[in-house]
Amino acid sequence: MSPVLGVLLICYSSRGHQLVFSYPSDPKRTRGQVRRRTRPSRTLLQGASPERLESFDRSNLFAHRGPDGHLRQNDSEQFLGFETHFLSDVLSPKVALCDRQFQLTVDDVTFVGHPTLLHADRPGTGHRFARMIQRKRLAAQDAAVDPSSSSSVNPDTSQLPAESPLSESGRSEASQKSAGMLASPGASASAHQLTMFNLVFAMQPNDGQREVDDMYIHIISKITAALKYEQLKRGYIRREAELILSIKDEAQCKTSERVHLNDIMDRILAGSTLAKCLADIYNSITNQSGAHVVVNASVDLSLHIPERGTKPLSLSSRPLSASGTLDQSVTNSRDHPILRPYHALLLLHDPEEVLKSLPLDTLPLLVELIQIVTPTQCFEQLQTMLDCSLSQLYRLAAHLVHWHKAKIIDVISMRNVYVVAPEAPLEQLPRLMEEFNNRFPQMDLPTILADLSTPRPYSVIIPRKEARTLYLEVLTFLLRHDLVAQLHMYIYLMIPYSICKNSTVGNVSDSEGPTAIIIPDPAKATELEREWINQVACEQPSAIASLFLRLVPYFSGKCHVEEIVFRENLTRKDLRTILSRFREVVITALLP
Amino acid sequence: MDAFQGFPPVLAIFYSEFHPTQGPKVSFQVPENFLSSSTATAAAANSSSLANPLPHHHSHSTLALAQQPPQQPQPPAATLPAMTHLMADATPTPANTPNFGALSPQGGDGSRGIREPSTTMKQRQQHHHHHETPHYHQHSTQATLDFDSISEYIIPKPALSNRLVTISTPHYKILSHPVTITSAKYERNALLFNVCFVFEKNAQTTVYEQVVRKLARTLRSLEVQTGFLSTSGSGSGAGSSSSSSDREHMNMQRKGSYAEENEMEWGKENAAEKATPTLGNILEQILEDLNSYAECQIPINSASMINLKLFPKYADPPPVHDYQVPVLIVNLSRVMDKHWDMTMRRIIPRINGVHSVRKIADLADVDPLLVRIAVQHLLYYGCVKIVDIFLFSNVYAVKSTITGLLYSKGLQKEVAGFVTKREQPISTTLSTSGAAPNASMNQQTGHMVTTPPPFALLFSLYCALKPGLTVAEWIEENNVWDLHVDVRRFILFGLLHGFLYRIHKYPIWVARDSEPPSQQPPLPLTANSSTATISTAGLVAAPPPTPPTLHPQQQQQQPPQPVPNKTLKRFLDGTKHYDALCTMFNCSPRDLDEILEKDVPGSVRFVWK
Repeated sequence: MSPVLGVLLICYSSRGHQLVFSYPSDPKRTRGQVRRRTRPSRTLLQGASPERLESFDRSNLFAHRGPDGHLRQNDSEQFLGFETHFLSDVLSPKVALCDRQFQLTVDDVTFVGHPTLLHADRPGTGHRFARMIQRKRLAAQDAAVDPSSSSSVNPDTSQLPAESPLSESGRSEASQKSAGMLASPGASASAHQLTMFNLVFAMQPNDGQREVDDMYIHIISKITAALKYEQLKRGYIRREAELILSIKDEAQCKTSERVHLNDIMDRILAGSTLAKCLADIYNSITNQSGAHVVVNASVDLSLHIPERGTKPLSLSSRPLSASGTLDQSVTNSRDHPILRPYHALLLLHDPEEVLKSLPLDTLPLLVELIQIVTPTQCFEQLQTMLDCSLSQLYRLAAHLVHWHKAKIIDVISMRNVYVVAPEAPLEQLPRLMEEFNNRFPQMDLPTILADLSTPRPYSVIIPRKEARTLYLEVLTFLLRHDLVAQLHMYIYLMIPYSICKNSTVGNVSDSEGPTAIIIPDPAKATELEREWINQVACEQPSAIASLFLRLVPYFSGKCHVEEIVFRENLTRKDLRTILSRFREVVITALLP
Repeated sequence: MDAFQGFPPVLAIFYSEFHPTQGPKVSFQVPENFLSSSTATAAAANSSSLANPLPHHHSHSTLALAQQPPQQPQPPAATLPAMTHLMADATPTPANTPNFGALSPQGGDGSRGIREPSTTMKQRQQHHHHHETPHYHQHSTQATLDFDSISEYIIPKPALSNRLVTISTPHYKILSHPVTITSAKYERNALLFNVCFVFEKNAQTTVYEQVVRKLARTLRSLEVQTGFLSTSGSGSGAGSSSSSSDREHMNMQRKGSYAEENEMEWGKENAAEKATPTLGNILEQILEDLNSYAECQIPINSASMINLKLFPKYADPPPVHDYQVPVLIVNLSRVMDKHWDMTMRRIIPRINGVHSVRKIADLADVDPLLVRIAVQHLLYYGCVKIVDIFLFSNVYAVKSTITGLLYSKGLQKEVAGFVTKREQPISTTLSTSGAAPNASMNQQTGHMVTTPPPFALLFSLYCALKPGLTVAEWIEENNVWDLHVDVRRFILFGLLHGFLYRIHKYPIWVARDSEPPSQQPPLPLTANSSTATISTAGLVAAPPPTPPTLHPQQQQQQPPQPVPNKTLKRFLDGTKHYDALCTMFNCSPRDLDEILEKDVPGSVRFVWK
């Protein structure tokens, strides 16, 4: 359940504070009820006070509105059970609380925002940029005889290239818009000058302050910065606010016909780019996906809240093979998944979709990567295809992973073992089945999953050779939706009792009685343990024994077979030989 | 919130009210000078000349009381300069009256908004607290709290009153509960007040919410019943200080943190005053007691008392299901007494690590819902862990955390002791396992004829558990019967220590041609399960079935016995696994297998997750 309940935009101008826009039109709390105000019987004092009567009236009015969501003229609008006028009041704080994180919790709803002052002329507020713009504008006005539209546009356009690294189209369009804006209300600009705006998200955090702070850091501060920039540069917020308010006024003036709240919202969303932008952001946050918006066709914003608990990918591309560095790199790989040349990149959506969500100034190499990448190619192959370095490729991959566009998997292979993932979202099965059937009408999702319930190489469940490609695509689908996970084989080393007991020293074994001993980390074996290992090895032919001794450091349950094969540059067959020859001394475990 | 982090300290408490002429103002605050306010300081400066000097006088007298120098037994030498201020405070002179802040060396700064609490305050607190929390003073050098910037949230418009309001400032988080009492007896027909708790900006304040609510409620009723605030508060009241007897009372509550001579001194000074503690004293005591003891108890008058206690808040426990098995990890029967909840007392003896919630409900003759709630409570307090119903047809697999077992000698010993079969005396164990034949495991580990079983063997047994292998098959493959391992406890240990997990069997309906039940034998849905939502309720209410012979055919012969097929089908969507279904329909997995295979051949797939 997303903790975000809604988004509000409050503007403070010389006309006072106003709740300009709120979305959605009918926000719902995730828990708790809207509190009914005033419980008359609670106090001993007699309840004939004007305030109580007033509130009584108000609640009656509220009841009149009924479930059809129609708005009557006398109704005060409500948002989450709060009157909008009340909200705009409490959410326009005094100057001392502005230009920093603002947070107000009323009962169980938290409002978090960044009230932003727009005074350009007030010294000491640190609005250097705002002052600079104003100065330039004044200078331009002085230069021109009359403060007409053209003169006031000039500073804007002249500044554009330096300020915004944007696409050509976006830039010209924006400046045209701004020209239009400045031309019309130029005189009235001083009349209701916007002095403050506050973009607020209403939340019911499940996890206390952390969620609120995440929201503030990753979403609110970024949009607010963009909006402030656009307002100072082109008067964006004021223009859009007037537009939204005029649509609202128009709707409310029609007293005769009842206007549905959703109709008003539709009109606002159709008319105002700012409203549309905020609604888009709200929708993608509540869907737990990243949002990509372009504020006023000018500022490109990519927003998302990084998931808690996910660890950053480690980008180190140092080759690791010596057993000396093994330990460090292995412990690392548990904490941060390390990218490996045998890994592959699995896009979580179709390439076209991913490309569409990218900003306009995307790196060409990234576009190329998205176009050609398939989960059957490992990074090593991609490197040659794209003609770039591995570390460059890792960076691009990490970027896509961070933005929830891709994930890192072992390169898909028929020999790999896949089983239904422990966290497979089976509760979403009806939806997934539908999606699956659209893609693979000839197949059946539960049947595939049933086939993948026992661990065996993927090739075993493919009925014919011709179906190979199809089954690979199916596997891609399953991996994308976290329905299956690859099982890896891990190896432990156990010295049998027959060898332990031969050693004369054997303090450890004595204390534990006659038993086999597992060496937790053969890379750090003691002298006695090394002696045992050697003894185990010399029961086999020398070639095999030497390979065994080379691989023993990995038999600590920390490296899976794929990793060992990659590091020691072996074939899987070599390893299989070792494992079968030494099956008395190794314990294998299949782990996800 | 993963684990309880301790209570965040209260940095300050202040009482604010709407003054008829001055507007919102802070009447009491502990520690002193925590808040700054341009209006407040202005008022302070003018108070002697104002038409209404009374409130200020009273607030001052309270402060003077609060700053009484306790007879410091051994004042540290370093604080000698401060002691001189103490002496100055102790003897109130007319010169002190206009601006109390002027007494302290930082008085001038106070008006400019830089708070540096006087040394006297610190010393006094040090004196009072024997086991004081160390973080308590760390914030004393931080920025002051600007009251003007937040006054609109402290004394708010009616829409916010009687709600819990939390507002964050650049440095602090303020938890408060504004109260409005309307009555003709007040100058403006209403009394608006608010007791505010100040915390660090990032403090997790949820634990304090109840305390703040309760204090607001208590003060409200005190005011409504006795006019406590309007008489004792600075706004329009009369009395301000506490009497000696009440002081003593309070001191008793303080768990002996006051020295006796202090009481005597208070007694001398306040003998003439009224018989209730002032709000200033109360706030001070709340601040100190909550920070030191996480609770406080302050008698107000013969009838009323302020009782506050902080309770740690843990994460909500996950929902408990009928098919889950609680395992006690604390010996509750030892601590349980007759005052415990009746349901709990019936349930706890039946929690044995084998019975499911449903079974416990049946055995204890308690509604399953109540058992679920009780188990959830036990879960919340960390008394139980939840595992699954153990059956030999279950499938388990290991997690990568099993490697940790290799490095913990303690756990290795524990697992060996835990899984050893207890019924058999050691001698027989030795003799029989000595004869244990041809087990591959035996060959690997040599003679493992000791009790408890060697760890290496147990470890390899754990690693042999994997998806697609039932416990029965695993026993077969590894000859576990010969190893004197209690299989159920073996699995339980892995589950409790989190390196083993259950792989559940999910039956999923695949027939694409919508509704097949017509081909099935007619479904005698009984009267009590005839509604659309039939399923569980009807089945539960039905007389206990005879699980071993629960065949569809037989059910037809017994009309009151509902056949779950139709009901069952709606659960074959990937949300319910065998444990859930079997518990729901009170049948064994084998029965369910038969029902699914006989009635709807080929249209159910089994996914193991």
